[in-house]
Amino acid sequence: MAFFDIASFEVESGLRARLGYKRIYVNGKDIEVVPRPKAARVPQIVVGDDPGLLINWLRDANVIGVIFKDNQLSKKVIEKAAELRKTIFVPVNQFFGVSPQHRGARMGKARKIILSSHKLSAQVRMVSMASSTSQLLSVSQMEEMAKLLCGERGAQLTGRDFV
Amino acid sequence: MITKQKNRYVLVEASAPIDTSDRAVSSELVEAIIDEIGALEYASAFPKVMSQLGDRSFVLRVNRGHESTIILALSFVKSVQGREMGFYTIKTSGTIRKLVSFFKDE
Repeated sequence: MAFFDIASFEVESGLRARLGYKRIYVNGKDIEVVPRPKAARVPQIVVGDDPGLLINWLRDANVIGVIFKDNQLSKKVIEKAAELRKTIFVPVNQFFGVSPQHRGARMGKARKIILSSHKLSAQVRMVSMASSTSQLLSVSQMEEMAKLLCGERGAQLTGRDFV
Repeated sequence: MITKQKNRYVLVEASAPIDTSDRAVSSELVEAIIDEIGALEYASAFPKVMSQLGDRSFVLRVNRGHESTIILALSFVKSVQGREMGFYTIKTSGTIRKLVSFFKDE
């Protein structure tokens, strides 16, 4: 199976191969993570917490998926994403550099998003969204992280392309 | 019956140069892992730095069956000796020799 990730910088090809990814998309170059859709040639992922706006933005052909800001789950958005075959992205970098209590709380919310997405048959993917090399994870680490969040169903969170 | 504990070996690459042959560095790395997994799981997994390969890579020995815990714990370790550093688990094997030859082929 081929694995894909998104980072905020260009990862050199040797490191990408050692980590086990077929491709690591660069935020700002291959993909844009934006607070609202804009006219652009590259696919976009919108970040937001307003369900009404997110549902509207999902209809945009350029938008490939959403990230729930602060993990604010909205089942209506997930239902719409499932209907339009868009992806729910769960960034993993939010679990780094925070206290164990905050990490636990964030993981709990991320788990709810993942389980709701599974229940509503929406496509959900975990991505590192790394802003530095220290935040990157190898494929095996990403798989273990996915298993931590939702058990054996975690395998569905890492593989396959999303663009 | 007491049987011999079998090990698994994990090839780990750091995002910055690290010298795990320095005891202070390797013990701080193991401390960081213990912070993530806890003392009880540490006693079961018993991770230990075995050998340094290049300036960023090293082999970590783990009791068999606990490698996934260590792989996960290394995902959360983001600094050693006050330096920002991430750790990537590149490959897991039953012998160090296989990891060394994999590292040389890379």
